[in-house]
Amino acid sequence: MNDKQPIFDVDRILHEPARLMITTILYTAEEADFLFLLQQTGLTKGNLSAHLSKLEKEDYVEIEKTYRGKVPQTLCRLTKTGRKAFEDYRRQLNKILKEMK
Amino acid sequence: MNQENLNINEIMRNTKKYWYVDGLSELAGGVLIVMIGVTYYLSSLIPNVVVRSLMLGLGQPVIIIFGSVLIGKAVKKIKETLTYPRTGYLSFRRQKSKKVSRVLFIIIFAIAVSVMVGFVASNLPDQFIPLVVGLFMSILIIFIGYQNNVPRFYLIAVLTVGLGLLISLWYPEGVLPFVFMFVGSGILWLISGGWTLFNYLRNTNPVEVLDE
Repeated sequence: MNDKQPIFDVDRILHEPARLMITTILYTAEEADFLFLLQQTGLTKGNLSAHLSKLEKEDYVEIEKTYRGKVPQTLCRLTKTGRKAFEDYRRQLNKILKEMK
Repeated sequence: MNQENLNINEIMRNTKKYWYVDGLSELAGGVLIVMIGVTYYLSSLIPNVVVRSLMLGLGQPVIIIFGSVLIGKAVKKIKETLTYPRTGYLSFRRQKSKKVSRVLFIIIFAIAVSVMVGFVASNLPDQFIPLVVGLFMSILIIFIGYQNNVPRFYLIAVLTVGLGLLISLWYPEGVLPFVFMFVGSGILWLISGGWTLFNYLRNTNPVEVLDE
């Protein structure tokens, strides 16, 4: 990491507030379904879908389409890459904020 | 702690809070605590000292361990039909590698609390044991409430101390202080859980099909 401009090295995928919120929830949990994420984040269905797709594309999130009884259910969980990215992001951000003080 | 970290921590605590959103775990905990109180009462009915000691020494831990497992499974099952269709499914992360150390921590914590309660109680008249038990229970309740961002637990903690104080001032004979302490605090949990469940069911509806 470049010490002079560390802010530019922050993970841009996670730095977006909605995606950071989704990632934080999934980091705390083992897995969550679409409905839970919708309720917790307050995002619209379209917005949540778009952010999840972006996280999935980066291999941060794993999405599984399944059924709860007869009702379709979309399960989301953080991958190892996603988990590590989140931990790195927090570490990096803490470091930046400490340096700013 | 910085602001960004605070927000992330807040989201984490809010996620953990979800376990308590429907009041089911409080109802389950309440049943278990009432059962502990009932074992105190039942043990007092046994005239034989050895059998009575066995019931308290072995029966109570068995009830706590098996009761927790059974109630935990029941809560999960009920959540599947009641909670998840309404506000979504969430399963919590299990750190298998830390499972043994967690169990060890709980055992050490339980021993430490027993020793502390014993130490404090030995320096006080017997009459104040319910108050001491209430205080230690409250500390644990406040800790759980803070960890999981459930403010209503603070009220339960205050009421538990109040209950301990009331029983200490009244101080009935024999095992009754323990029976009242545990049954009373169990009822507090049942009321809190019942009220939370009532509000949860009133404010939420099952989502049948979710267009994603």
